Amino acid sequence: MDGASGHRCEEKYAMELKLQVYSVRDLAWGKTMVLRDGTLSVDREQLVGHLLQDARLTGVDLEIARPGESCRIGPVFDVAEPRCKLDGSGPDFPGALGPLESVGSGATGVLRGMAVTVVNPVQGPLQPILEMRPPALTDGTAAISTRYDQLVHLVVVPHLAGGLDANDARNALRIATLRASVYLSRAACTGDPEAVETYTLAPPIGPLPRVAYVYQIHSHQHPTVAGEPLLYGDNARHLLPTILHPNEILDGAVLPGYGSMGIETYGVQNHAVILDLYRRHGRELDFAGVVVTVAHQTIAERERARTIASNLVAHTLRADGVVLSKSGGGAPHVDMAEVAHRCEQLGVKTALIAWEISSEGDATEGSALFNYSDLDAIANVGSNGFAFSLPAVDRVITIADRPAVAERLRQPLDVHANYLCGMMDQLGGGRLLAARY
Amino acid sequence: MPDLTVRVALYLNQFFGQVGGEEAAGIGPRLVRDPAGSGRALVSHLGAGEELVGTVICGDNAFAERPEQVTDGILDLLRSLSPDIFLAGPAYNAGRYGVACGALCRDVAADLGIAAVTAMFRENPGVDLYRRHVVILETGENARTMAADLGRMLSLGRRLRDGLPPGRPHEVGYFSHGIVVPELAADTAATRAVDLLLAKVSGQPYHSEVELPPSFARVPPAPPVADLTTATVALVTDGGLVPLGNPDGIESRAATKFGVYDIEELDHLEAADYEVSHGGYDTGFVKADPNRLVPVDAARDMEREGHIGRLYRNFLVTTGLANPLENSRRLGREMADYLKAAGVDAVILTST
Repeated sequence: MDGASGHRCEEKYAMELKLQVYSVRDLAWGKTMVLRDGTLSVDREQLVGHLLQDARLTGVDLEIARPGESCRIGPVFDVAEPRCKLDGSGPDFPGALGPLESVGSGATGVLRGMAVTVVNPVQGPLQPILEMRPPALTDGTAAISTRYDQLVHLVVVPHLAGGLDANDARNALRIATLRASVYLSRAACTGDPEAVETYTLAPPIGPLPRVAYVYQIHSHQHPTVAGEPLLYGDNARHLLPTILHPNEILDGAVLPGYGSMGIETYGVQNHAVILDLYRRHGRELDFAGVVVTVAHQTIAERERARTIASNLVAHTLRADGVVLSKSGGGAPHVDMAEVAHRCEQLGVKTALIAWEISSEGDATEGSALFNYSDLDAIANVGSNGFAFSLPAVDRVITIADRPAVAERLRQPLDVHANYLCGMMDQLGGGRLLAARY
Repeated sequence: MPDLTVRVALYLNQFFGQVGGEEAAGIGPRLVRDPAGSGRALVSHLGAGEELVGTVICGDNAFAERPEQVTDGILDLLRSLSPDIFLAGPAYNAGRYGVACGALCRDVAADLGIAAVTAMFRENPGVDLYRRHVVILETGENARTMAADLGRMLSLGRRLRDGLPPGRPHEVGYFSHGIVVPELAADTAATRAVDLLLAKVSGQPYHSEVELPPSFARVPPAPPVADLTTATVALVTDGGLVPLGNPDGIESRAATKFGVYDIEELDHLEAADYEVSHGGYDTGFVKADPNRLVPVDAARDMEREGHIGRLYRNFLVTTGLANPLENSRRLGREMADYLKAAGVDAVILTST
């Protein structure tokens, strides 16, 4: 092959994602689905009818919650930014909602400034709530705003059919989240967008450090179930580490698990690490790509994942440095460290994102669950131990027909940071910091 | 007209006060008005309106042997000086001196309500004893840097006197108090992680926001059980298995206590009698068959077959999830003491 045809190949196949951004500043009920002057008019009947195509739902209530309102939403199943593929450039959430074709190229419509937020009627270990006013720390020092209290929320309150098992019910909630998100954006993302954001990994000019990202998309300490869509619709139960283009992740190929601690669909669509690496690409660093992996249950699986992930980073992506994040709780913390330590041994510098866990005890000792001395660059997303005192609220959006839950949520509440949706994004999208003194 | 002078008082031991060496370590507290000993190096750092109003000198042994009495004497001397800032040391790697400096800073801050700062080497025992309550600047091991160290102590003392927070430990150079405080950072955690990485890749300085444990001490294993066929064996777990209703309220994360539950009459555990108080793993298998976490069934077989002497009549349980090191160590000590007192020879630990 000569140089000229090689160049054409590159142009032809470079993955380029164009996010066509439409700003939403308010929502209103109306007879049509249309975005005008920043206000999205939502036809309730139309949207409800669309969601009720799923026989696992017997009804859907819709509510609007606005920034600054004395309003509490919860328990929250998921938060998503309304997005849809435009111009037939790919499926919406392939494998979960749309057919199994690639995403990450072409145009995607984005309704920025709002979210679809789905209430969770299924019992689970974590029951996060979403505050529309920045919650205040119990010690009175500050109110900490999250990315979610600055959005207008279209809240979906689902009524589940009787006799569903919990996992089937959660699947119905996931599909409802995605359907509502696609439906709204498909209706509203017409005409010229306010802005177009282009994401492509064009080779940078100049010798910049090559930086990869190891994205632990799930921890199987809470194993996924059949039909739980994580990676192009697969439940990633026995995922071997693999390389994805970051655009695929931004564009719907990856979803959080049903009970993911501190990771919502919104946080994957607006993945803080990926967006930061893109922002610096070609200026401070050369974004080499993303390795997705999971935290496994058995020793053999963990060792296999550690080996493959670190080899991909060092030898396939040829990275000089790598950022790693975790999902879930403590065990995946160690899985992340194992991959990172092996990367360091292969000559790749590492920085990690983790939460701080020592605040309930004596914090003069370090709080990492590992002590590899080469893992000495860890950013934290705050501490589960941080206490917030929430005031009584005027309005509660919660599980349908559960007045006792509504009454409890209306009252003042003392909660820890991990119960506040958006407060401790494990993908690093929040600004809460556990500072040591 | 009010006195606007910022009054600085200093504490030195007999050696740095130039009273004498070890032979003078027994001298009681005394006040010197003129700059004395290593305190002379402080004078050049004093700004306009600042004055070194006195130096208290005391022998290391006197302080170590009669700490309360000597402290009272020192506090009386200091009160007579009406200081605004109290500096003690630096103590470098002198252990008795470091302990005295730490204790005095704590007591002066509490009793006189003024800014108090000391400084020492990281291995000085005063660091671990007093870092939680006292601002202790880190120094090298010896006094070569005395003048600069006194300057750092004075500038931090000024900040505290003005009611300002001391700043970040790693930026200012003092030993952290061991507290973790919520703050709103300027950047997201993702951006801070990439900042850390780029600094690390390019050889620039960086500071981790999460610290590694210092090092996990090597625990020498207990001697082997001489004869398992006569040994009493206990089952212990951190997997959170508790009798239905969780009678002792074992917390589902970072448990602060352990439970002791009777299995004397049991050949195996019945699923209907137990629940799991643990939020960190898939508890489905254990709920379906609790013997897979606390293997009473297998242990009874081994007892019958004569592989072990006796299965201890209780099993012990706590929940390890997200448990701080210090708390875990305490639980371990308490469980070991309990088992030792009960005459248990060996333990099978099951974790999750």
